[in-house]
Amino acid sequence: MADFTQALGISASGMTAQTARIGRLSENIANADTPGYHRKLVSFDAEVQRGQQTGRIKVGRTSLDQSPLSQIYDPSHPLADETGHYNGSNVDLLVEIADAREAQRSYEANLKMFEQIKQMSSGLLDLLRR
Amino acid sequence: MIENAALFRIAGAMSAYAGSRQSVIAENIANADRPGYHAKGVTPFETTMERGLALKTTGAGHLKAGGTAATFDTGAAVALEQQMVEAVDAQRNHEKALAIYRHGLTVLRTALGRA
Repeated sequence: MADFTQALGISASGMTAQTARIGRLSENIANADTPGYHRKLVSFDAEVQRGQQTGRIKVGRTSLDQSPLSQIYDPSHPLADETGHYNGSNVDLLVEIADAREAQRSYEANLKMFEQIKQMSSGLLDLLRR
Repeated sequence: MIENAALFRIAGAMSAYAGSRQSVIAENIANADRPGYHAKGVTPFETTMERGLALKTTGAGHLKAGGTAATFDTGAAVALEQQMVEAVDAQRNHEKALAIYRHGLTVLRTALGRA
């Protein structure tokens, strides 16, 4: 039974991590047109308790993508410099959408595992019920 | 009756093994997107059992017939499809073990006249 409880926790941590990832991705997508916006990147870390890896995953530090910002030509824009350009964001919608798909797939895989483990442990409890 | 006890013990070990294997698979899937993570493999139940049965238990603190899945680093990235297949396999093994256990209980109940 202890194994099941642990496994449920691991799957849940996977879902939480993927949810956090989707959260950052949607921030990026929402801010795709914000001038000077750097896209946020999430990192996944292994959870460590008392010096030992628990098998669970947690979201680590959020970092900013330091790749160059896009230059948008619009001389009438209030932020435009002498050449008529201003800094856009470095969000590439295609990359964000692809990343979001991957996060969704991973979330579903974790959910599937969660359901399966739950089914197995309730099968064990059914033995007692009779 | 002694055969029956062994049957319960093996079925119990098998369901425990399936549970711990499922836990390893859950870990692989949760960590699939973590850079640098290597998938963990598990030694088959047969091997675990053979190793467990070969040990003589003469004291309460000694190792008993294997119930937990021994893991090893496969050195490869996590393939979700393969993990899903393994998870289903583990679940089926668990169900099989439970069915055997339940059947054993039914036999005992019948023997006691409480069908």
